[in-house]
Amino acid sequence: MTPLDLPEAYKLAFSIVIGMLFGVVFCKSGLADPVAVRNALALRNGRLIKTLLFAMGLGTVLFFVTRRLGLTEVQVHRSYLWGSLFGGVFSGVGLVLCGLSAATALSSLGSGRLYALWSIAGMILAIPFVNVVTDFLSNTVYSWHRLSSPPEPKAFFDMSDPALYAAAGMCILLLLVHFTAGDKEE
Amino acid sequence: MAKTDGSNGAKSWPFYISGTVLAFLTVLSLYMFNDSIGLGDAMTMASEHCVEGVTEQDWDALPLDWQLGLLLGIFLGALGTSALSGGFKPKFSDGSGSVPRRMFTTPVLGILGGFLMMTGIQLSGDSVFGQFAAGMQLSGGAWIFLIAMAVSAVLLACLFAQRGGRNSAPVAKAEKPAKKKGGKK
Repeated sequence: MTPLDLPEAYKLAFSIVIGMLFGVVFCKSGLADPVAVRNALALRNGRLIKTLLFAMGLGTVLFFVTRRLGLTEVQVHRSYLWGSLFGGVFSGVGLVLCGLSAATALSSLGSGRLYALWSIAGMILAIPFVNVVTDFLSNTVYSWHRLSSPPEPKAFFDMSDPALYAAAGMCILLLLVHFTAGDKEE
Repeated sequence: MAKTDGSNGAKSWPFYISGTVLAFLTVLSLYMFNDSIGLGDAMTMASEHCVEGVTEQDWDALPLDWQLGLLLGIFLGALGTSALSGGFKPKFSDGSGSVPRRMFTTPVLGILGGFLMMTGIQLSGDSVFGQFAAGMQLSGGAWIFLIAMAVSAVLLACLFAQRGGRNSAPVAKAEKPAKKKGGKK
């Protein structure tokens, strides 16, 4: 078994359908709500954190299984230590200020929060800025410590398998969040 | 179990349902598209198309590929969910603070936050959603990105919350009864 190799037209059609499903999940999980995101970041409401931890843990296992079956392959962009680190910090600060990321900003806009347009405008403005400083970045951040590709584990219940540790770590964190910053309504 | 928490009328799902659907959809996307599913490339393409249109006055139609289709689908899915839930109502701010304060903070924080968010995405090479999907594939860079983002965001949000920061729903709810009591006296 191999991943689907669809023609471009089919890819486009399926991408719209899958995108719509993502839009539904973003709305239903509260990821499209900047106030809920800020409350989750301030550890006032654990439901969003639990959603993401649960998705990450389950997704790690699902990806492992589908990769072993040959249905999926590793598809990640090249990453650099300092680029990822600084990028994470910048994005974290941005997330607190606007409560949205690129995908959730669109779902937020779709759900009627017109003020998400400000965040989308900020995102669009940032791209030419990064293009201006791209030479500087190429000589600094992107020339230091390129990170290797993800490893290919042999068996899930092998102690050397990072997927096992990732899934276990997500379970422990989920329990921790559930009993400390859990959602009062659940 | 379903409840609303300010999701503009849409009833929220419990975390295990949202998490399961999110994980399945991400892996399904990897199977169907056999490509990294970050949305940063589509945003970059759209932005560069806008820049080209402004600088060269050349407004050709934006070439629609599957990544742009995914962005379009996300917008349409959210629109449909809110419309079908019966609570769709356009909002111009997140409803915290006084009106003059909101008129200033909503655009400023929105633009600044969006700018920083996209700068971080460009530095790391993929969008938050793409990094999340890469994290499922155990990419070291994605885990560094996600941990750095989570730590910085939680620290800053807790700092704001301690100093009576903006947009915290519990604080906003707590302020209302105090005002009513004052009014009765």
